[in-house]
Formats: sequence, C-alpha cells, structure tokens
Amino acid sequence: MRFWPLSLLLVAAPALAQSADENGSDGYTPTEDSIADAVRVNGYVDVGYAKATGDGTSYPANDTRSPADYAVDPFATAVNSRGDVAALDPTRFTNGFLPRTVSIGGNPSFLLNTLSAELRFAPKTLPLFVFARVQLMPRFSATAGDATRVELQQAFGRFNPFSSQEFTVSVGKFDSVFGIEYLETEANLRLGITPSLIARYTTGQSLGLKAFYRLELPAIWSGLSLNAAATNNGTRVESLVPVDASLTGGPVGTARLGYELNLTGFQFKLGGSALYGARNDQVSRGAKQRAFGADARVEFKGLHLAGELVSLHDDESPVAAKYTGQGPTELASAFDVTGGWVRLGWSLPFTFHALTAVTPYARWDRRHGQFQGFIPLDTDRFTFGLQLQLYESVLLKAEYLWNRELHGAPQVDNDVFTSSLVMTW
Amino acid sequence: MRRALALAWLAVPVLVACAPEPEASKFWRASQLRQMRAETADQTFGWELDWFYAADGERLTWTNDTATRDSLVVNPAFEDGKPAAFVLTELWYQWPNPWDQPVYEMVKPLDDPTTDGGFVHDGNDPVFGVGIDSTFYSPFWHVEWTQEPPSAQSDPYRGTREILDDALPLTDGPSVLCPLVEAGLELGHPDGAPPYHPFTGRPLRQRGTARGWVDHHEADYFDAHGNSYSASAAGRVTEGKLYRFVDSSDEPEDAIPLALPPVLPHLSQGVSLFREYHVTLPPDAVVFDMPGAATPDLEPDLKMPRPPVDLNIDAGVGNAYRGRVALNGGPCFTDAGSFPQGCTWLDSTTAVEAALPSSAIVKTDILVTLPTLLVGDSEP
Repeated sequence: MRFWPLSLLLVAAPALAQSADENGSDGYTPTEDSIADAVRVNGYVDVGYAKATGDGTSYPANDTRSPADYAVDPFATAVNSRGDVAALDPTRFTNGFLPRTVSIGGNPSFLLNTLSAELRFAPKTLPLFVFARVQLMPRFSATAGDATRVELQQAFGRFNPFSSQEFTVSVGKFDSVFGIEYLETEANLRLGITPSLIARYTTGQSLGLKAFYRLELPAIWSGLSLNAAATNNGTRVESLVPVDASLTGGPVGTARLGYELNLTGFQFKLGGSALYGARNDQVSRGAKQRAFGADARVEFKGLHLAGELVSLHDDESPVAAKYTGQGPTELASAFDVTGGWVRLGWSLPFTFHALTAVTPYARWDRRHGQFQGFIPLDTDRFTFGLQLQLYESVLLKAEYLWNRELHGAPQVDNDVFTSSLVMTW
Repeated sequence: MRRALALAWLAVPVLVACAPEPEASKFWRASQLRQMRAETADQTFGWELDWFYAADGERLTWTNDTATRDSLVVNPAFEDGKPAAFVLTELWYQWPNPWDQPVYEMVKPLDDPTTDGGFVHDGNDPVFGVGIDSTFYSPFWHVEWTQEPPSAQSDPYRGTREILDDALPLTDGPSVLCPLVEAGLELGHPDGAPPYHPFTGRPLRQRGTARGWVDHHEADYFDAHGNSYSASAAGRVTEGKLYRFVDSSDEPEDAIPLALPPVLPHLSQGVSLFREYHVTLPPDAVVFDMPGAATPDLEPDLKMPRPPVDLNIDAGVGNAYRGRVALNGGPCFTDAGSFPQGCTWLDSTTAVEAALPSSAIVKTDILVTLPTLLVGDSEP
C-alpha cells in the first residue's frame, strides 16, 4: 500500500525540481494570467435515438441457465459509444458479466447518452499537463427509477521530464494502453457509434502509473513507441471491474509496442499489446489475468482500414467472491476469450456547405468466449453506418448492428438500429 | 530519474508480498473427491474421504465388505430417531449456496396411449444445461419436460442451444438431485448381494449411473431420484441442517467431528443440500455400540466413551441403535429392560435442540450434497 505515494514522489520529484529551477526560485507560483492561458474547458453532448429488435436483451425467453450472462453475450445490443445496451433483464440471476444499460427494451427511444466536460491545464512554463473528464449519463431504471450516473472518467497529471525526448509519465486515472480501440472511446472521436464486441476487454480506463516513449526514425519515415502502465485494474471497462481500488494489492502491467510508417498520403501503424497481473474483480493475488493483442491501421486516399485481435485468459479465483463496477456478485470463474474486429471507412472526397465530411463505414466483429465449464459462445456482428460531419463540431451518425449467434448461444432477435448527434464545444 | 523509476518498480513485489492472502474457498465435485481418495488423502474439512468413495477392491467403510467396483460408500445416519443411510457426492467450503440448473427431459406426446395422460420418457437421454467444470455447476436440476416434434431438425437432441433454437415446448417438471459422476459408479455392496445399511443390515435398492448430455458431450449422472430440494425464485438452493458431533474439548468452529453417524433433519430427502453444524457434546455423552455386531465396531480411535452393554439387549433393536449418542452416561446401556427408552438419545434434530443449549450448536462454512437412501424402512 505504501508503493503508490512512494512512486509518485520518485516520479514527480525530478520534474518538480526542474520546473523550480527554471523559475529561478525554490518554489513556483503561476500568475493568474498564466493560469487563465493554460486552462481550457472542452466537452460534448451525445444525443441518441435507438431501437433494438426483440426485447432489447440477448436472453432467449426460455433459457433458465444460471448465471444468465454466462450463457449469452449480454453486450451484443449496444446502442451508444459507451457500449450501453438496450436492455438487461434484472429478474435473471447474473454474475457480473454485464454492461450498463439504457433500459429501453425493444422500444425506440431518444437517449441523452453522455454529457462530457473536460478540464485541461497546460502551463507553457511547466513540463506538466493536467486533465480531468467528468461525464453525466442520465438513465432510467425500471426497478430504481432515476439511475443517472456521474463518472470521473479520467483525472491525471502528465509529466514530460526531458524536453529533448518524447517521454511522458502520467499518474492518475487515464486511458488504456492496450490495442487501438481506446483511442476512440469517446463519441466525438469515434468513427462509428458502438464499440466492438471486444472493446469491453481493452478500452477501460485505469488508475495508476503510465509511461510513454516515442522514438522517431526520420531516415525511414518511421517511429517506434512504447506505452506501458502499472494500474489497479488493467484495461476492462468499469462495469466489469473496479477501477478505484486495488483489491489484491498487486498492480496489473500493460504495455503496447507500436511501429508507424508515415509517408505522404499513406500511413501504416502496427502494434502488439500484452497485459498481466492479478484479476481486480476478486481478492486473491493468485488469480491472474493475461492478454495479448495485435492491431493494425492503414490510411490511404481517404480509406481507413483498421483491425484488432485480442486473446485473454482469466484464472479462476480461489476465493468465492466477485466485485465489479456495478456491485458485488458471487464467483470469479475462469474465462477465456479471443476475438477481433476489422473496419473499413471511406471519407468521401466532397463537401457541401455545412457538410464538411461524409464517411460511410462497415465493421465486422467476431468473439469466441467461454466461462469455465459453460458452453463456448461464438458470436459475430456486422455493423454498417454513416457519419456526417457538420461544420467542425457536429457529428451525425447512424448505424445498424446485425448480431449473429453462431454456436453455443441460442439464436435470439437482438439487432440494433442506433443514431447519434454529437455536439462538441 | 531512471534510478528512481527502477526503485519504484522494484518496490512493487516486496510490498505485494507483505499483504496477506485471503483464505481460499473450495468446491469438490464427486470426481475430485474420488481423486483425492485415490491420492490417499484421509480427510478433507473434517470428512473422512472413505465416507465418499471406495475404489474397486477397497474395504467399504463401516463394514467388512470389499467394493467390487468403484463405489459410493453407504453411510449410517439418524433422522427423526430412525436409522438412515446416505451417500456423499459434493462438498463446498466457504462457497455460496449453489443454484439449480435446467435439465431437459424428452417425453412422449401426451396423446400417446402409453402415457396414460402423464409425462413418460421417450427413451432419449436427458440434456443438462451446465457442465460439471463450471463454477456454477450444481447437482440440483429443475426438470423441463419437452417433446421432440415429428419433424425435429436435431434428432436426438444433445444440447441446450438446439432445444431453445427449435422452440420446443417446455413444461416445468420436478426438482431433482442428479450429481454428474463418472460412468459405472454404484452403491457399495458385497459381491453377489445388494447394498445395505451398515448397522441394521437392511438391504437397499441399487442405484447407479445413467447417460446424459451437455452440449453434445456425454455427461453421466448418479440416479438419486426420489431426492429433491427446494430453491428460491431465482434458483438458489435452500439448505438444511446437518448435525455432526464434536468433542467438548475442541473449539466447535475448527473441530474435526467425531466419526459418528450424523443427524439429518426431518424429510431430508426433500432437502439434499446440507450445511454442517457442529454440536458440542457434554462430557457425560456416550455412544452405543453392540458387542459382537456383524459389522466392525465404530472407529477404533473414536474419542468417545463406549460403556459396557447388557448382552441381553435384543440384537435387532441394538443394531438399530449402534452409533447413537446418549446423554448422562447412557443409563439404559446396562439394562436390557430399560433399553432404549431409558436413555436420552441425540438421534434427531429436535432431540438435539431440546437437549442441548443453542450455544452448543455452531454453524460452519461447509455444505454437502447428501442423497438420502433410507429413513427407517422408507427408501426415497
């Protein structure tokens, strides 16, 4: 438990000493003007309209196996960029493998998906960047009434101790470093609307310590980067795993090694990721989580091709208790999943007055998951969508999700049409 | 800077290693208990492993017989003051009460003349909803009766997905106890004779395994039909109380129970899932045993006084009382005329609760699955 403050001191001390030296005094007190210059407030509002087929869940009516979330993929009916699903069935016994939900069932409904506000502090005279993002998610719950949540999604300080190197150290709650899908978690950054079938494993925010280093190789128009983190929780989304406390006392290590080639009109990026550490949804350090991933992106003449693969294993916990961001459940079973996605987008080469960009896209997701002793589930999803950019700060998106249960999970009517208007300030 | 970072990273394993590791929970399925027994372990959490299994050629506990094949051991108990018998199939430690799961049983159409208006198996094997390796496996199943349509795509049905995909009609059936076990297991019995109660000698109906399926994989189950259970609306199985006696010199929570027949609650065959309670015996408690009984004495190292017994006690009556605990030194043991009514016996849950203070009865973190085979003269 004493490790974290110690680490903070060790990491922060050189940076603070450097800034104090630059200021020519023992301490540093920015003036009010410089503070005003350094502070920016950004954010967005994401308003959606969605309709799922069936009852909005992935549960077949007659399936009475327990837990219900082990026998189907409850994440299939996503309606927004947070991965919230159209509905869950609170009457069924489940064991913490659940997304958040907007509770609209099979009804078409307007949704205020997210109100997001960001505060940035980037003083010109310090090698320091401070960032916080707070999000408000108005929700309805049939059992609890108002289920609106406020989430401090990110809050971190980032230090750049060497002005000559692209090397940063971040402490706090920050984005994942695994794969590439975390780069567009936010609705105003995502090409489409809904996350992939594997996003739940790779795009969660983490609390801990992160280091990033990029080495430019100008002679071959290339760059190498290493992003590594030691965190409480790893990279799963908060609905699956607690972020704000380490339940085992041991950090989870995550890293991505990336290569990029930047030519005029052509860009290619390749990465490999790994994760290892104790599962943070239970209390035993002996129950590990481990994951490997690979990702690639190509951009050429307005075409954007991207894809990602991930393979993850969870050990069974020897202690009968499981904890998630949505509360305690019963047992932390062993779990294996492999999956991936590939997406093609095309930014059409025309604009028209307020319409500043038009991008149709399609994505194919595939997931093979199995909880210990349960039937392995093979599912896939085709997503077809269109993004319109209006002015520079408004995105209008619409997409259709065609979910298929290929093996294991009973076939169920769980496709989704969803749309989103994202207004950024 | 680099040195500082390196120090920080090096500090991690040291500090992590200092934190205490929580106590592990355990769930032993039947096959795992069998494996532990094969690895010559004696007991686990106070249960003698030779109460669970006897391998082919091993002595059957409580008797002089040798198992003729891999067997579940028939153990003595008492229920409502009557001799009872049971086998053990699962054991949980610090585990939440299990949930029941669906098992799909194919039945003949109700208009079939052979059904007589009731549900009759059509000969197909049952399909279990969950495999034995799951952390959510339990031997408690709620039956879903279903019928194979004449134009069935999947014939015979072997997996839950096909049954649900084909939208077969489902009708709620009974709640049954069917532990998934290895094929061929049966009740321990002497060569050429049926299984029997080890103290009274009463013969028992043989029960064995039958074939079922989980997602197209064969999954054999022990036929404990006649045993049932109750569950909450969400499917959480309700537990009953199983009383095991511990010595007065032991701490009740951590005590290893005395190797005595346990006491089952009323209508135990309708419970099947039991939480173990430790009952601390007073110093004057004694156990009754019949000298010269056909089957061996109770465990020789049993830490329990066994006073002399009047040899005029009728053997039939006496055998029915072997292993029972009596209070006050068992005054009727030495007087055939006052046996057994002259003693205060701890042979039912109500008798235990009436005779001992509630502080003598301590709940433990142990759950067992315990199919009842016999109570008095009744076989579930």
